[in-house]
Amino acid sequence: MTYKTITTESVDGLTQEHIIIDNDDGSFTSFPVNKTNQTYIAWVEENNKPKEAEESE
Amino acid sequence: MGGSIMASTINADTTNGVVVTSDTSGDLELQSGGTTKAKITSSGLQNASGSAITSQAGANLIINGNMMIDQRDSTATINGTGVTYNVDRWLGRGETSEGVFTLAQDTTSPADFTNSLKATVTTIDDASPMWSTSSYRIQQMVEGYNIEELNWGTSDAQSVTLSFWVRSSVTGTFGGSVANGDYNRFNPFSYTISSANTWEYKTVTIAGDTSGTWVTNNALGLRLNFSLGAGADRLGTAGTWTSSVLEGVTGQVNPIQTINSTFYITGVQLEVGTTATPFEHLHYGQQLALCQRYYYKWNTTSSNNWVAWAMAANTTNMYGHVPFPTTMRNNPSSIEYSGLGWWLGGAVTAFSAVAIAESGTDSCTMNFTSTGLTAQKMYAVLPNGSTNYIAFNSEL
Repeated sequence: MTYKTITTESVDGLTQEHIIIDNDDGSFTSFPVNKTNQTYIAWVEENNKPKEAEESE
Repeated sequence: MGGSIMASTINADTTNGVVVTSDTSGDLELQSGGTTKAKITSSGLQNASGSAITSQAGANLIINGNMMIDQRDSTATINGTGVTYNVDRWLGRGETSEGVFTLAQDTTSPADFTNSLKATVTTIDDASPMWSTSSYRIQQMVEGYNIEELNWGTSDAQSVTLSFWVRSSVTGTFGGSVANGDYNRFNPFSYTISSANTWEYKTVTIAGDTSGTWVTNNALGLRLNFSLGAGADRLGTAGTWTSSVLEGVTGQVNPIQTINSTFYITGVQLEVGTTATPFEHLHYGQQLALCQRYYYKWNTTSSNNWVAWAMAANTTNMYGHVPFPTTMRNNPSSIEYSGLGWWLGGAVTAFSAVAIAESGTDSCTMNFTSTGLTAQKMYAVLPNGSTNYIAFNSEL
């Protein structure tokens, strides 16, 4: 599976990075880069880390 | 004129008819053929075992115990890389493991049920003995709010009774356990499958835990494990609370060591008290709503069924609002999506990324990334492939 990092910007101007994982079956999994997010925590525990964001606002 | 009959036992006797006897216990027992069926005591209405008789609704702490709801509609492969959910609320885990098994909804079922959860071993763990910390299991994680009546972790801890239908190609003594969210309180249980490939009904009563921490909020309250195999360090004595990580019983069989072995389970009910009552069959819609508190999947095969309207903030990003059908347990921690795009007349353009911009328990504001957008314009977000969905994950 491959993944990329993107950055979104909320209505009030706050930016947030997200991991987008290509599940190799036509689907994608997406979650924020946030140390309190259980999906992100589990992903990091599998020795993954965010790449530099490909797209930003 | 008023009057009263002092009665402590009312027995519908098969020989003498109704027989009333009295004492000064203050309790009233209702009997049939000399056997107590119910009691009225100072604590209220009780069954023959002394457990409170309450409304049946909500008696089952397990959600989707009959394996009917399957929003993911897929086969999960459990290969030791963490948690994989399959049928709603049910997951598979493998740890320190060489073996692989799959999980999927199946239509093989006992009477009164239409579905089961089927595990099939596709790669065996051939270590002999099995590595001491290896573990393969089917699990449901119960939200803390739903176990408050257990009073576990206090002197008022109540017993619970687990009942389920099970069928396996492997026979012998099987194991499982109940554990707390912190995974430092465990009580293993055992049951025996006597005949291969035959549905059997099992009940197990587990004494309440008067120690440990059992959370009663929206975090992980209780775990129910059904073991498909485990090493010596994960096995212990049935019916004893301990702080050691135990997921089965010493001497149990390990289906993970038999290629193509199968294990089906359904009708899982965990209820307060020492008596197993008939499985609580909820309406489909009720059960779906309970499941959607943890996982909500919007999907469609119709290109005319739109997900949302979204407004472009610039040439590459648009924002749209997706409401949930029920309040989720927590802000979704992740989404999964497939086949979505935007439309403003003409062809549909696929998104290069979809992410949660603002997360909530009743809805999410989504960020959709693409190219060629015009700021302040509204776009339809709709299906763009053969498989089209977006799923929100708030599992424990």
